[in-house]
Amino acid sequence: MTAALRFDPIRLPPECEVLRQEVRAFLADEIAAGTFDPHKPQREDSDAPEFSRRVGERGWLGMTWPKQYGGHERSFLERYVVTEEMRVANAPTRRFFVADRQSGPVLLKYAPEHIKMDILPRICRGEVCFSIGMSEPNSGSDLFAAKTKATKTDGGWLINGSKIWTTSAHIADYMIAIFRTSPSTKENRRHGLTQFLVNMKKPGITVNPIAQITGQYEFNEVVFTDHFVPDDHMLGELDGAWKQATSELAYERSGPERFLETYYVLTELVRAVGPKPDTRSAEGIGRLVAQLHTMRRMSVSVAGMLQAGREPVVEASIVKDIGTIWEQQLPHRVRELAAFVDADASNHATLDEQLAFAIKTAPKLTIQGGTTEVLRGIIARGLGLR
Amino acid sequence: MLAGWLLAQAHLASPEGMMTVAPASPKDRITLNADGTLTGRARGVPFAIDAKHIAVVATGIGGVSIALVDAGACRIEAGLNLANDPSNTVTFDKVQPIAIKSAPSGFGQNSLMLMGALARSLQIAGAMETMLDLSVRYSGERVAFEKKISKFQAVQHNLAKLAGETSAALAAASSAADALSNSTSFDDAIFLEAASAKIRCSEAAEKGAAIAHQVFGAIGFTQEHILHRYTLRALAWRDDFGSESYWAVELGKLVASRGADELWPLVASR
Ligand SMILES: Cc1cc2nc3c(=O)[nH]c(=O)nc-3n(C[C@H](O)[C@H](O)[C@H](O)COP(=O)(O)OP(=O)(O)OC[C@H]3O[C@@H](n4cnc5c(N)ncnc54)[C@H](O)[C@@H]3O)c2cc1C
Repeated sequence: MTAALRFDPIRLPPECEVLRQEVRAFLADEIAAGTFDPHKPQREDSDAPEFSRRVGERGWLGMTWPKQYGGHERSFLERYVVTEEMRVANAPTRRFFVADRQSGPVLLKYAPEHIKMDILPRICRGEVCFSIGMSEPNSGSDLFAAKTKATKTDGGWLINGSKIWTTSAHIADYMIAIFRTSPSTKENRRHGLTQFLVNMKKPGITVNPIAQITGQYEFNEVVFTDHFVPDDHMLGELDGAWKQATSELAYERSGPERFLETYYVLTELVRAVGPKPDTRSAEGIGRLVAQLHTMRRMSVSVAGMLQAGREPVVEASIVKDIGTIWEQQLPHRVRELAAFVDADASNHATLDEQLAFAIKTAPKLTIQGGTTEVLRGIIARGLGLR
Repeated sequence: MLAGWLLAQAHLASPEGMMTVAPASPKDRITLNADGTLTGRARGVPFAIDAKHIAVVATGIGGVSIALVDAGACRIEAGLNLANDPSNTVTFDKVQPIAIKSAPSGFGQNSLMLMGALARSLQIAGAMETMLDLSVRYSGERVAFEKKISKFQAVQHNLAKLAGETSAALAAASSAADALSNSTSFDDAIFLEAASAKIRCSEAAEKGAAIAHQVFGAIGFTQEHILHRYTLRALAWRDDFGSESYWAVELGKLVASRGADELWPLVASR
């Protein structure tokens, strides 16, 4: 077999189902208390510090990390359940999501001990927000074209240049960024970039919000002017950031957030159609549910492989590729079906509002976190084509 | 295999020689008459013309029964599916079964359709693994414009898409197989698994077969080349035991009747 793709039928163990009920009960209480409205993905203010703390109190942040850093030493499958229930409920996870998924694990692997002891427990308590500083005005898919510079100075580095499209930078406490510490070499154009931990509350950083086509402000331009980063904030190998990037990707690429971002329109369509759909609506819903179920089974399967200590890079890229395309198409398919819904359906206005938002959201889904084209390049490499 | 499974549900022994099952389409019904004979018509029965026996699900006043029938006692019309495999209309005209027993409780006509749909889903997933394997290998051999075609990004991306569809088919089919083999009843969750597998694998077959043929160019369009043995079969199997549009309607009805707020709990229960 040229391409040994594996998607074992992993089932979530019983402790996950107990946890799922706890998460659902918690979210129901939060909804009842008015923290958020599950029917409104287009919330204006998506930063919810108090909610974030309460999630931390429940022990649902840093779930898989060692206890000495405030973690809970639970499984990836348990974390999976918490993530998907939050996503389906449209809970306001912005403050902690990136830190919990991505930044924490990077720090665990590459940060010095005293920094881990300082920051990781605060992530677990839901107190700190992280952003990711990779893209620049002239460096997107081609990450290794990054130019923002870190220049050696006494006791640390001076940063000059700018990052762009930085999600949550306007509320973030920290950023994990890559900066140029040396020029690339002839032999290796990926050489010369180093990963750093940036304290966003220190001087020399200006954050300029950028409006998105949805009307929201999620991402930003971040300008660095002689911003000082101490030596111990360098993460991993000098000039070797490229070596650190790939193994993180399986975690980033296959989670439930990669196919559930527009899920809410499907629930609302089912509600609008009612218990006795006509053939056209029934077929449309059936096809969408079959896709949803399949995507989820694939994603759980990758989570199970991660739990087993494997690095399913190709499978994870496949899940993100077809998952993001599905969540991008979903609002359009729902729109087609909604055209035949009874105008008197009690949730018609909600559905219309959600569709308008989801259709505007859709284009970003195949761009953020690596475009479809980039993912297919990775899959092609996994197939041995490059 | 499916016939053996079906007979085993009613503790009937499987005879020697080739068997098939009827009905093979959700709209067809075989009736068990008061005198113990069977009447009805089943279309699209795979390999009926070559089979010695047929395992049959029949419905009578007493409920659902499973019967073993001598294929020679039925009228079997010649017919071929897309891949030129026999696919026959079988007419039962007061046929006396060799053996017949009541189906176990919870087993209905739909149970055979779900199991048949699952079997076809697994076959489609397997065919797609081979399509992917053949296509990847060929793209590394065929040269055009002085390059292996695997070096063209458009070809790479097509193959990545084929890998995605193959993965979806594999995941859906193996999940449903795992679910059915660990379950004794045919509840909503099993229905979700089996129906989704048939829908998703059929959709994958359409997209995947098109890509595989595209990668092979003209050579893959020839009778002599092996590719069509996989592509045409995968496409043909979409029609057996309920097509993807049939199952999508049924699954959509199930989801709608359970209500919007029960959709996620159903999906998350798997
Ligand atoms: C909502 C949103 C949030 C984001 N948040 C963050 C964040 O928090 N931090 C961060 O660092 N970045 C973030 N990004 C940026 C994101 O990572 C980049 O947009 C992405 O990597 C693509 O880069 P680009 O926009 O510069 O497009 P480009 O790289 O200029 O690509 C333009 C087009 O060309 C295609 N293309 C480029 N190279 C190739 C190639 N070799 N082969 C084939 N096609 C190619 C691309 O696929 C794309 O279709 C975010 C983006 C969005 C939309």
